[in-house]
Amino acid sequence: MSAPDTISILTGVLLDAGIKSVCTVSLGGLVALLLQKGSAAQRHAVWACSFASLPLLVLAAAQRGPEIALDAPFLAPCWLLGVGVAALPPLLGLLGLARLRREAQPDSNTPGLLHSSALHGPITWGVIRPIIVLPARASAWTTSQRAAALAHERAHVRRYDWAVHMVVWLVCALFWFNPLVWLARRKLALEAEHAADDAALAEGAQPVEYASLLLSLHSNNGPKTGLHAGGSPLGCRVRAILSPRKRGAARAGVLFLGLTLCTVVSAALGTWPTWKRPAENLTCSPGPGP
Amino acid sequence: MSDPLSRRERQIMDIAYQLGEVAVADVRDRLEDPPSYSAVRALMGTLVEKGHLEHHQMGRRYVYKPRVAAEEASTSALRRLVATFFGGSAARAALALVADSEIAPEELAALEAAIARAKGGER
Repeated sequence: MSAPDTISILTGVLLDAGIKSVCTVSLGGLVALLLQKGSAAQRHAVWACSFASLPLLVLAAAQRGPEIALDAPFLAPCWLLGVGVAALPPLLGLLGLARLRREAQPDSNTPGLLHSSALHGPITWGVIRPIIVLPARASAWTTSQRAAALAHERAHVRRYDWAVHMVVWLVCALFWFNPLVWLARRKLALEAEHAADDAALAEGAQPVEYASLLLSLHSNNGPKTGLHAGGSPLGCRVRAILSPRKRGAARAGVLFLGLTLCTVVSAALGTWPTWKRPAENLTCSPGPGP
Repeated sequence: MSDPLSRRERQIMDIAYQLGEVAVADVRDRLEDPPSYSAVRALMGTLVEKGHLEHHQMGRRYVYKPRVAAEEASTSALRRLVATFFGGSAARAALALVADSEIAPEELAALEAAIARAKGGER
């Protein structure tokens, strides 16, 4: 297969998957909206399922072959460049995490728990051997504040949130051209934090003390109201912690339903022609036709 | 030495590095829109406390000079920059207790008020 053929197939696959990704993410958003009165863990599961179905769209489009022939040889290289740029922050981040792990001090009592003065607040990562790092300032926290922060981080570990976080970043790098995907990533990340907050409260964290701890970790870098309509993510979490609402883990039923729905939708979208083809391939070329 | 410098303190350090040894009046002459003599002296006193400057008496006046040579300081600044860059990207690649932590002052005030109200309700 010649290089122009490969580029043309890749362009077709990308356009096909890109258009369908808008439908998939919108559907995920709609289901999450319907679950507004449910728990954060349920909404997180829905967002995660819609992200899981996005690579399936690419696979389906690649397997079926391109339906759209677009005479735009610059598209595929532009896409590859975008993937590289979008994948750079997580790759650099992984290097940073390796460095942080090397330089952090291990906790004498708890395996997998480290302390670092390079951090502003607690962080966690890893799947098989998960790591939690507390900032040096945590030594000034009360026992209950420390317990609440650790309960939050352990909930992330239990829920495999970091693995989801990395996969979602990868999917976002592939679909970098679709702004809805980035918006969905923000929503998913916020729901993961809500779910871990819910878990910390379920383990006995006092809402007022926990909310105060979160607020004490903010960095005031000036007014940024315009960035987040309806309040910042941190503000959203603090308000959720203080208000009585449904909390709890996502039930297996919801996960099963979500996964089934996403698989069915992806399969349906994957086999659905993007545009109804006439007898021959739809060809869009920038110049006037023959 | 790890305390971050304010804008004014950084300007004073730049002048100290340029001149090698400086008196309060030398610094004040070179500062843009300079504050009062006593304010500059207080700032230089803070820099001594933070360990960036050292001073000794020469005749009737105090002379200040940087404690760390300029080259050494720029190396440690570069190291700090790299550490901050890696620290920032590392925190983004992990899951942080408070990840997206920028908050507008008015929202912060509203949240603090909500917490105070909830605290009042608990009692």
